[in-house]
Amino acid sequence: MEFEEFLDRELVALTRFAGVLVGNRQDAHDVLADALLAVGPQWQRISRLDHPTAYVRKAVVNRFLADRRKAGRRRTETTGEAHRLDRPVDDVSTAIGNRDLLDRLLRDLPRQQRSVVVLRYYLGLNDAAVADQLGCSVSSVRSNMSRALARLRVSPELLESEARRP
Amino acid sequence: MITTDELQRALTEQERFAPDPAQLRQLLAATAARRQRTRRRLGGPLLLAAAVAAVATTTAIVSSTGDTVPSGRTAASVDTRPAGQPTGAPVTTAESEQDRIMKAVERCQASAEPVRLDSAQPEPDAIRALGVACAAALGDRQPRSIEWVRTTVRELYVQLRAGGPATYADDPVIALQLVGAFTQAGGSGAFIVMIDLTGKQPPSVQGPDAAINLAVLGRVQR
Repeated sequence: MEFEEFLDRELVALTRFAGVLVGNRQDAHDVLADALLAVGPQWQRISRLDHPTAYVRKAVVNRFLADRRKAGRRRTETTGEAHRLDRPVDDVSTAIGNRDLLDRLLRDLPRQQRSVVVLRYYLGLNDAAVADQLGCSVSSVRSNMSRALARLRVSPELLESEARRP
Repeated sequence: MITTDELQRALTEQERFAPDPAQLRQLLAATAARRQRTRRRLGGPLLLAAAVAAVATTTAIVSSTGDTVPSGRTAASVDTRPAGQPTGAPVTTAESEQDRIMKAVERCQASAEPVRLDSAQPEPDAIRALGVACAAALGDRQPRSIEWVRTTVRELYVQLRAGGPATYADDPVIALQLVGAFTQAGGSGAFIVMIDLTGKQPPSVQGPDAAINLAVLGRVQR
């Protein structure tokens, strides 16, 4: 399979994956472009792998995680103190409020934890497959997942939101 | 507490952050075209002559010392780093990547101008030393791999997906592949040095993104 054929088949899905993984369109573009520019010249070799798509996805995840240090220097991160942010007002629908809340909670997750959550709950991969994609152990996946879910569940914003529910 | 369904729905909604596939296609096409221009410019006898020269110098040292690593003098003769820049790291200057590679090639060529490789049956140590010297000239003294196979012009050009010379298609060649951090950014790159064992053609070089699977061409040596 030529690289062009691969792009015809997988590019749209990869853009969605990158968008969900990164949570920011411009950065998702950069991460995915970097990954594709890196794999393109090696496509002859990659195309012979059993799962070239998984390889490319792994490259995307690696770029996202490797970008942490640079990102810290050049980017203004969202604050973890979400209580300082504007809250959904009462006349906004509950659905939109919840979506906004979850967006913020996901955005505040450390990248490793966010990656684990995306690979598990967006792509539906099992622990072993997530570990393979991240290049870490299964136990590391589980501990990151546990921390991520705990963070999502025990967040004050979430608890507050839960309390507001009828 | 968040349910699994809610989490999955929230993640799926973040597909709205997906970048534009058309923009990515444009970027990839532009980059591929730029790489192709660089490859064409680097293809042909220029770089090969330089590589052979560097190899020949190294080969002489290998013959006398049995050491596969070039001596300080040889290494210095093909080193393109500015004074004071540590070895083992890619060259970092403001010059363009293409100019840097061309300069490395020219320096190799100058250092090896008077030498011709007697390549009817080159020794593995000589080929390995050539690889070390060329890699150093191109900016990585500790390349990830130096591998080669004996094949034919036709088979090699099929792998390189390039139009080869039909006249000498069955001539035996050594395809020497160097993989290392040859770019200024430290990114991985691959060069193929083709050495015609009949001596009818000058050596040639493809790169910096000429990675091929050598194993399909024959027994890979390191």
